[in-house]
Amino acid sequence: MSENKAEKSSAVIRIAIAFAISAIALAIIITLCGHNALDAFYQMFYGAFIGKFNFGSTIENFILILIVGSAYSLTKRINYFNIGLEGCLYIGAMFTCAPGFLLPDMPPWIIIPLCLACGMAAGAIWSAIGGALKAFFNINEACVTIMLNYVAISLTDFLLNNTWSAHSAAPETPHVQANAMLPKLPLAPSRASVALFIAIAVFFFVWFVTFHTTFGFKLRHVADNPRFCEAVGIHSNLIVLGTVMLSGALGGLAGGCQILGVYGNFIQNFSLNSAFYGMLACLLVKNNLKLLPLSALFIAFTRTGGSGMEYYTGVPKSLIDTVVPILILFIAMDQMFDYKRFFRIFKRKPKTGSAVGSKQ
Amino acid sequence: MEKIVEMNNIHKQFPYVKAVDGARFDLYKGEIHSLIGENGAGKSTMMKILYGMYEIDDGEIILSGERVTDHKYTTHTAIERGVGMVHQEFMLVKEMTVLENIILGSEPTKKGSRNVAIDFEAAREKIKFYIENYHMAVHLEKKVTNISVGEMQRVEIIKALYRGADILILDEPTAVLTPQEADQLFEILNEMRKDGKTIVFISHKLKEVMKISDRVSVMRAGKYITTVKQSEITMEELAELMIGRKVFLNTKRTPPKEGEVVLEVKNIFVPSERELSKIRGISFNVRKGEVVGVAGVDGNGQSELGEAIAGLRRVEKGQILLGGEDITNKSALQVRRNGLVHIPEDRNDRGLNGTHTFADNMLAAEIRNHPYSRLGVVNSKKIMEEAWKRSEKFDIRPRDPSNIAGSLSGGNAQKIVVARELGAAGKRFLLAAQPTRGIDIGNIEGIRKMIDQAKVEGVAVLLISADLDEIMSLADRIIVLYEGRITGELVNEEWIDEGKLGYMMMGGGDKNE
Repeated sequence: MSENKAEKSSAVIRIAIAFAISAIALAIIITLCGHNALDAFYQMFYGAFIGKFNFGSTIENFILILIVGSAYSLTKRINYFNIGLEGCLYIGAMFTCAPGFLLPDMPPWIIIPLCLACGMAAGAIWSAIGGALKAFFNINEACVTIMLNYVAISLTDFLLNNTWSAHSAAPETPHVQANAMLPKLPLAPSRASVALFIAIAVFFFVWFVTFHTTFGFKLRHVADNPRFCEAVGIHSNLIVLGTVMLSGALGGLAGGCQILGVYGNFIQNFSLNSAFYGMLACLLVKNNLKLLPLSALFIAFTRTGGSGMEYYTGVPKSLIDTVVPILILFIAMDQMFDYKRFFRIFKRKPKTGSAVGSKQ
Repeated sequence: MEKIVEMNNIHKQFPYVKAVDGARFDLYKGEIHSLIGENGAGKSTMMKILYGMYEIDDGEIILSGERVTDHKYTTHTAIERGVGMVHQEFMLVKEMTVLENIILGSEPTKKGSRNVAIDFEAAREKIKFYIENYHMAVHLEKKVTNISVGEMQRVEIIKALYRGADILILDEPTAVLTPQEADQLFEILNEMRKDGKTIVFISHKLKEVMKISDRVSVMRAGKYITTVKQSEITMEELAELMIGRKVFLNTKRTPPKEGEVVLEVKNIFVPSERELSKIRGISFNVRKGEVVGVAGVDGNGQSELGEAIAGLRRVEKGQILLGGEDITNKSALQVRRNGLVHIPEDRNDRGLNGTHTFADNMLAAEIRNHPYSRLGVVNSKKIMEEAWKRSEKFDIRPRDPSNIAGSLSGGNAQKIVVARELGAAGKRFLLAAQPTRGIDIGNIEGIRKMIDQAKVEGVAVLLISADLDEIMSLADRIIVLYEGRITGELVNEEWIDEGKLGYMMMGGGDKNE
């Protein structure tokens, strides 16, 4: 095995150790709060996976987290701190929704791709603002994208209260035509839809782009050494812009899947920072794409399982929110779990004491 | 003579390498002792241990008969005991004056000021002694940013002496100097020896070692090889000791086959990071099948010239033609499409992407081309095949191209850069900037041969190098850059006057002679 593969597998083991330790930490916290940790874990598992509704809700969360996680993975690879995915999600959702209720009835195979494409285009254009500022003027993307999130949310607020208001009691847009809705998975009464397959396709698309295309080849180089890229003839600023736009398009797609798969119309503040869970999923596994679905599933599990746990054991749901930060903390200091170094302590060789003589 | 330093059985382990493996070293009072070895032989580490910068894993250091390693031995104790070191990278504060730099950390204070007010007059007085005694011309009031590299080095030496150094360690001091400046340095060192100072001279330039040393110690791969008197050994024998085999550093140059002009530079002006027009009106051309060497002291516009040709730096005015086509201010990609291959001057900066595999690095410039990719989809198998081939051809160790480039030693890392550039198909013009800087002798020999081979294959080569030996052994024609202008052009014949070349490097044109 080459050095580089060994390095990768040890990184995986380190992440696994961090997971185990944070599970133990959570158990301790639950016990300290006066609950039975084993029972809580059982209910959490039950609440996330057993029964159509529970499992379906996990899948519903999983869809969003996997799409946003894949989108974030692209920009993470070029070290672009894309906090703006939440904004893309809102914009994408709004512009997926709009053709759905503005256009006359069409067959599903036209209207669904059309809606999603509109959402993706909107997401891409929205994220291009931050991307272009970064690529051509080297302006810090974190500030820009955080601020653009608020702009995006306010913009959708404006649209759904004025231009595209449903004129109902709640701040929302009209419902999209029935043909535009994605079919539900047979997991009723949960809201999981065939967007699951879109999410899986997005994941494999990101995988393919990153590792099997020239674009991916370039984007992997751009993050690590832009000056190198310049010298070998890679236009790093265009790559940055392209990657950010692609990521934004996927963010828009995530929003679109929420509309067509779950809600059916755009409701004010429907997302509540859900894009951040996707980013967390990516960060948890240190942008290792192989592990991303697992990590997305894990976060979806904590989201739905947490509710089950609260309902049946009385352990407050907010406790489950501690586990993700703990996990992130442990993963951030994963060098602590360098198990090889741990073993090396025992294997230290005795010092050699041979003196080297002078020839003079 | 009195033995003032003895280092016995020194071991030092770094995370991945054993830098020093049971080496020894000694110093007699009042000698100039050279420590030679290839890059990574452990000579700098050995001296940094003596200067207290690294703790040793095992062994002992004896200074004037006292075992100092019994207690904690740090840089602080080393300075107290009269050991001073001038590092390869100067450790000066650029925005402060020379005087402030020298006294920084051990400032004399005015009486009665409770160690608060600095007594600049006393400091100046003390420093003046060194300046006059050893004829070291430095301007105490100038800021360090505004002085030359040679002067910076003298400042470093004075800094060490000011702290009471009797033993002065110089780590590759001549690497940044012109031949004239190096000679000046040697004069200073000789006078210091007369004064009873002891000097350790770390180098791998054997000519200089033979010129200045009383004794020479050789290290190879962390191990001590031997110590010899200068008078009892020849340069060839030293080289053999250092490498462990015979080397022929002066690559046999193939005579040039002059063909049509490939690169034509017409009166270009190029800015640097800080100033406009760092290069002020340069014109030359390079023909097919010849090597043109650009000589000059570092920082006289060589980097800017290279970057301007490679499409990495804006040209203010003038014109660059490659193969008859205008490439002025075209992007690097477009210039490469016109047949440029480019070995960048700093492999850790532009040359390599250290976090990626050998294969990725070797084919980064050609990833768009068939068969490495098709319609934007990468063919990993073809890439690996080609990478293996180049790995064999350019003798990269370890061979396996799925290793990460950042783990390599300087020589092998540079060979990856060379493999990318010289392995490329359709190359017409090679721009080699400092192709062998900071790598070991064995690999220098290899890379120079590869450049010569490229020339034989009909590539036009522009070689920018601060290493005169390199220019003399490879170039068919030499142009000398000084402050952004060409101060002379020579044809490299059988015998070339190094003094004249050095004179041109200092700004004296051959026309004024």
